[in-house]
Amino acid sequence: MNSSIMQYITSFFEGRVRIRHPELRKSGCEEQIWALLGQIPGILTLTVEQKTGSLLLEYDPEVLPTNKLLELAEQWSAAHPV
Amino acid sequence: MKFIIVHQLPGRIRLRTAPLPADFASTLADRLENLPGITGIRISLRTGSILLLYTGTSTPRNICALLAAQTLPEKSLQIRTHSEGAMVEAQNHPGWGPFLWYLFVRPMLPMFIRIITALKSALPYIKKGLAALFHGHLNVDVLDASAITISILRGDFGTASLLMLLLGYGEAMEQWTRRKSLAQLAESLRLGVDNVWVRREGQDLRIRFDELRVGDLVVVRDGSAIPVDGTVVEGNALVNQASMTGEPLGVRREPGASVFAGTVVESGELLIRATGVGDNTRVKGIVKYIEESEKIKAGIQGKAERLANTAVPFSFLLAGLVWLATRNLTRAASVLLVDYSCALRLATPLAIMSAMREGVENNILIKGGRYLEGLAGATTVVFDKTGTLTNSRPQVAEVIPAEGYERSEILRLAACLEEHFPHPVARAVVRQAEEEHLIHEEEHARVDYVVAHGICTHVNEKRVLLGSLHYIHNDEHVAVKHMRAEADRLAKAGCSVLYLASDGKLIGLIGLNDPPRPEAREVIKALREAGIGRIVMLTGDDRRAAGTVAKQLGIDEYRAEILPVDKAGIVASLHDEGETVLMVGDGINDSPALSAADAGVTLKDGADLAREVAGVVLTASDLHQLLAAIQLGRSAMRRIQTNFALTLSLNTLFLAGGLSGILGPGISALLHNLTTLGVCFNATRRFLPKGETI
Repeated sequence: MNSSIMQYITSFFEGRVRIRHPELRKSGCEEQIWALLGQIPGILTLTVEQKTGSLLLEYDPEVLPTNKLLELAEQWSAAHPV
Repeated sequence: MKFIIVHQLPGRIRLRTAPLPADFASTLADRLENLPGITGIRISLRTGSILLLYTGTSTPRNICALLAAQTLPEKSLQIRTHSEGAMVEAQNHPGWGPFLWYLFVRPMLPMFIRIITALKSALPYIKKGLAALFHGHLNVDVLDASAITISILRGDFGTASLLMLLLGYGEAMEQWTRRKSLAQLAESLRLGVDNVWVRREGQDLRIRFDELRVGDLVVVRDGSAIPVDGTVVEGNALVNQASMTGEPLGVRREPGASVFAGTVVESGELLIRATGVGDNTRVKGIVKYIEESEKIKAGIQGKAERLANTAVPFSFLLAGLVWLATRNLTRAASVLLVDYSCALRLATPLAIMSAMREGVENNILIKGGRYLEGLAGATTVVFDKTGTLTNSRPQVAEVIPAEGYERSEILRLAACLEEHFPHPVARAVVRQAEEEHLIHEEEHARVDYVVAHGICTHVNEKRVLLGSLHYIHNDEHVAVKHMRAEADRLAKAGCSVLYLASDGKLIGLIGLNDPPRPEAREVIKALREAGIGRIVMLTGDDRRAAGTVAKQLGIDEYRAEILPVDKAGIVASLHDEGETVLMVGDGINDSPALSAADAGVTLKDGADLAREVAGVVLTASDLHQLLAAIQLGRSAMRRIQTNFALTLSLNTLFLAGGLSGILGPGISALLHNLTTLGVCFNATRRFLPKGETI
């Protein structure tokens, strides 16, 4: 079981995932997320709402397999312990 | 729609329904996320399974109530699956399966199965070829069919299968890239959230587009797009329906008439009762746009297709000659198998689509190959000054009272008149008065606005006029001589001048300037360095003001004091001089000039009509993107030329190999099709250097 990030995934289906994470409420986080995910092929939209600490990510699962995405999320989560 | 509870435990409920379309699932997830107590949602699109995690005892009841209210939006879904099928099918990337099958599985199969599969897959190609022949076309389809048939007749099922595999793969690749590009284009258009004006309880409010409901009264003014389908309740306007009907002239719309989302109010104001709102109407617009963009083929694309089809008879002729000379069917077949057309036919549209897609990624929306070609070939760039070289945000630079008047008096009176009008010059005057805390009382009677000239009203029984020199002096015969020196000085400093007259006497001048965009000068310099020979500025300002601004920006050619209607004529005459013209403009009145140019360019915050008409939209409102757009166009055209050259030279080589007997038909077909795949791949590579994305 992927330990950390999974508990923050509020909703998921292939192609769309919403994560609510306390770190996302911090300012400057949006830039970090863009830097991390913005250039990755397969990411279609990225919406960070700092107020609610939510990240909505739409992606193309054919280009960016869900596992690969989760790996990235895990890396980010590991670097940002709550 | 029906949901079945599969199981329920405290804190967890699983439901099942029919397989869900992705966009409906998104909406559903959004709604569920907003229910209090929901902590997790997992949806499987294929099986229609929905797992919900929650806290609290009343949550399941709320979930059920919410789900019971869901209906699958039939209409919008139909529209989407038909047109944005692009999006659904875009995921079907042609895999390596067929290759693996050919290389590893096929050789293991018994001969008769190989023959049957080859014949079965050959049938569609042969049918297509015969159909073309039947219609009197000797085109690429006939060539493909002949090559396959000859291979089969010779008993060379391996070559036939390989040929079909490569043909199929090339097509699949092209389809995939096309759909993928279109899907991204559609997506980028769909995400544009904008605001709309609605009238509620007598007040005009600005709300977000997605807050609009059916039945709302929507207010649409000059130059704005109508955001909804609806019926006109009040007002009178000319509506440009070009986006729906292709008719370039506006039609009059009065109370009772129907209007459609995506059409644009050219002049006038309408109050519309919304009958259709939301993505549903917007999607229609996007569908239309995409269909249009496909029709606007680049000249070079047409050339590639013509070239491909003209080459076909020669291929047959050559094959016939080879057969006559050598009586060797194998060699004749080799000729047919190497045709020039595949690569040209596939690679050119691919390159154009890929460039359009890359444009979207860089905030440059290019609406078709023709505009890409216009960008690439541009020799002259024409700027409309206001709004493109400047921010279209004029500021009051100076207020000069006539003798016996106070500066504050002039500004106060001007602001009092101007505050009734929403155009940028009026806003500048009002803003300045506010900054100086000049409060005025409403003392005047009804204010009349004389289009493009000025304002007229009565204050304390006196007739007050505010407007251009033309309006005050020529139309109203007010003497301006005593302030001519000041007016000249303002004009020389690059200001446009407003004249204020009271009771038949000129009492003050207001000089306004519109500072250039910070990047304008740099971009113009870069355009010259990029080889754009002529840069022309168009403006309605008088000659001296225009000269000053042109000098500031490093532009040596400008046309001043021109009327909006002249712009299209100027673009057309430049075009007649043999220039390839890029017109950059953003106003409603720039639209005819934008269509007259080889490529019309507008900025994101331009008038809706301009965005509709322009072939290129710079969606981040930064002039630097104009450079990137030109670079993208040039790079795409260069790539297409390279592909032409590669296709011609390599295939000629293979042809020579086939003729001399060095290359057998199998190898010929393989090399030829690898070339096709190679140029297709080359067509989809990035066009702009990585670091230079804006």
